[in-house]
Amino acid sequence: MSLLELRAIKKTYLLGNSIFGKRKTVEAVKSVTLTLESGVCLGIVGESGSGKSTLGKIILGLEKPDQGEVLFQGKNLHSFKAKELKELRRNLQVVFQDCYSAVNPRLTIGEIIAEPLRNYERLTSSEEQKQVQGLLELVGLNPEDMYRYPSQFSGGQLQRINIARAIALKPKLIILDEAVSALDALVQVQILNLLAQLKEEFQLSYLFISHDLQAVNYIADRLAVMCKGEVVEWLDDMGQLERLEHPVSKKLLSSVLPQYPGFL
Amino acid sequence: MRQIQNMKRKLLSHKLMMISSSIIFFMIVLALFASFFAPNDPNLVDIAQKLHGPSSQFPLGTDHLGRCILSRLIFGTQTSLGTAFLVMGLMMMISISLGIFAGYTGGKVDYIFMRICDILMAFPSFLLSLALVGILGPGLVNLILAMVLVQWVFYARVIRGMVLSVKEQNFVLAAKICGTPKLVIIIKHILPAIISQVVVLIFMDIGGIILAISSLSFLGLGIQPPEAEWGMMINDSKPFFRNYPSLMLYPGMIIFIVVIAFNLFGEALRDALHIKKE
Amino acid sequence: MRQQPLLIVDNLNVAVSTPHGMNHTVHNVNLKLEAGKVLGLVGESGSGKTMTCMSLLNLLPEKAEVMQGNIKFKDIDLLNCPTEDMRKVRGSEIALIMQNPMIAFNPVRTIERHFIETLRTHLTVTKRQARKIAVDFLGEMDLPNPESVLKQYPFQLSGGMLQRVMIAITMSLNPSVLIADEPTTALDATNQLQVLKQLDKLRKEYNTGILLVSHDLGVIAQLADEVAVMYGGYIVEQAPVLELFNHPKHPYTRVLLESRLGLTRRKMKSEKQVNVSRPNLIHSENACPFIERCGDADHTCLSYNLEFIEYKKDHLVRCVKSR
Repeated sequence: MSLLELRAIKKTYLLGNSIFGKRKTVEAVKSVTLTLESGVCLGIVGESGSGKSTLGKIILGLEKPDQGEVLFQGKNLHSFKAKELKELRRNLQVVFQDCYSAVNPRLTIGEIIAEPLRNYERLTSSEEQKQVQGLLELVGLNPEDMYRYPSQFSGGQLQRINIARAIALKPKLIILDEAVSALDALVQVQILNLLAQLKEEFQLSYLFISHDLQAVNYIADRLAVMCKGEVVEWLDDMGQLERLEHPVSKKLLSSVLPQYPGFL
Repeated sequence: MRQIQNMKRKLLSHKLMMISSSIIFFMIVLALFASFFAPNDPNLVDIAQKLHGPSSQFPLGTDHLGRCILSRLIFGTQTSLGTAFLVMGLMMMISISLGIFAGYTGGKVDYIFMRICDILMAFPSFLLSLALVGILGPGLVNLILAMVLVQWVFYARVIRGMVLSVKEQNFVLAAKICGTPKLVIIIKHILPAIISQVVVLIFMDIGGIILAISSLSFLGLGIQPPEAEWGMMINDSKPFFRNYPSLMLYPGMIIFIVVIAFNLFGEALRDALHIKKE
Repeated sequence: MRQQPLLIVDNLNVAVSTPHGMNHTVHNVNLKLEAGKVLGLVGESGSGKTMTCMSLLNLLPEKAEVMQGNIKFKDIDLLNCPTEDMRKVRGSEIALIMQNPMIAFNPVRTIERHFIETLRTHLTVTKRQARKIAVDFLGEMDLPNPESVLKQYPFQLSGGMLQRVMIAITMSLNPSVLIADEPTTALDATNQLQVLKQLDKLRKEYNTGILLVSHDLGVIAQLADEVAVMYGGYIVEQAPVLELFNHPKHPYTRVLLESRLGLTRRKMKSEKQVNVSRPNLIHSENACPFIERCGDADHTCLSYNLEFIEYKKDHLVRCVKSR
């Protein structure tokens, strides 16, 4: 049984609010089928507007697909009652692109990281504190940081905090929605290394959504190229990027900037 | 240059804040300890003393029934402010809960809520209150009911809008995903994010409510005699306006000052919170 | 023979007032920009690169202030010229492109109105002439269907398209200097490449001097002739691009170069962890700003006067160890 299975997912958005005539529609995702095995990092790469973020939202249950099924651990995510869904959700977490808006500015770091723990585990406050401090250390921050507020941290540090919250419940799958795209180049590498290290440590699976082939190449085991709501190409061995054939993949490949002067 | 201007603006708003908040504070103290401040019984009729000018016993003179104007003004503070706060409080209870419920739930619930709002808002709100009081009959309780039932729509809609913008923020999505129950999300994430805006809204609008209460009382539909109330005092003084304009002037002035004070305070509060956000 | 630089920044110091006192965010920055050249400014967020750009245009935020230094554009002293002159220089002589093109446009106006209004504020042209210039420039910048682009509203265009329109509008005034502050950071890879190509065209065909600011060495590498690396408010290393990539001297530059991703690199060969603590810009006067994150810092770095050391001609480094 695969950890995650998408079967012919389709999602259409209505545009505008017109009373007369037919409303315009946009097919954000049309017929995506994919499977993700446990312990694998699947990279989904595509230009902006290719539907990759919508796909992430559907998997997270934030959007309902018009057609198709999302099977997580063999169970259909969108036909669940609230209570069962909660149990399922425990194993499915997310790290967003915008690290600043993903944390409530009015809460301390400790409260932010403890939120999932409070929802699923009954801990005494000293146990909770211990866990939070452990998580902070795990992501390379200082345990003392739990008493500070988000505004006192840089983007990279906030992303570490978001990661700490995502792994707090030891989930099976984490959706990384452009999780490093907004960060400085140097910080990107640090976060990618942290993610890779955590994946080994807790046998996590990732769905790494990004427009940046370099970042995907760095961390993913398999690759899906998306364009206009469809997966246009698969690559099972990331070592063979040059084998990509679809024009969209080629375009993405050729727009990666070489890391040495003198190209343009 | 710009810095100096900015400083000036801040100082000015600081000053306004000081003045308006001290007026409001003074008024609230006056209302709470009305019997302590008032020199005479506000409802004591003494026809022999009617329409007197200021004297040591009646600092602002007496009205057509010989009642002490100053005492009536002071006790009027109690009724006007008290009623206004009560109306605001009831209204906020309804509109915060309904606004958050509709905004957060979204979908059909929100659609139905919005249509109800549209219908209620299609009527001019003051006229609608007037009609309601007309049906229910005059009196303090009916006045409060009429105002709350008509005006909650406006606030509920504004609050719904605030909720909509907070709801889409990533930290709310993240809370949802890590399994936080709805009610906890609302109390812990959404309410704190909108509460400062709501407080500003309350202070900006309470002046309007005081005005509306006074207007309804002026029309004889609100607070009933012999209870002292500013709008009613103006109404009472109508026949004597030509010879004794001060009878109308005093309550008019006090309504003006209180309403302005609340408006300025609301504005200063908004500025202060806005600066904090930046 | 070297030409006269267009823009000279001499010993620029900028400080921001905070509740804890003045916080110096830019220290002794010297830059020279020549016509037709690209000067790359690399650094992480908070390193002072945006502050440097903003002081060039006299657009510093309220709390920030130039404490010391000179900025000369051609023969105008930009820090002490009347506001009126500054307004003329801004836009028509020195232009600025920012990271997020969306906020630079008014959502209820078409691209055409933006274009024509900008042109007519700075040049005396009729609407018809302005429109023609607009179409020409959009075509020049390789945007498909200039006519239909003009009719659209900002939200109808993608971020990448909008950034290219922004550059087209900026360039229609033919400025001699373009300051591009993270012009591609908000864009995806395909659009990034397009924008960079466009900037390259400007430099070659219009002889524009470009100050390219980015956190991404990959972006800098493609365009810059010379690179200045900023850290903690200081320029820690400055050299011609090839020299910098081949012989990085400052430890921070080396960390940056080592952290490039590229397509050849796959994850995890037990990466040397760079300390993540944020540099504290207020503390100690004489210590090297990189000291907390530097792998081989020792006591000599504590009392270092931060003078530039000339490693080679045109290659300056601010590190005691590079001697």
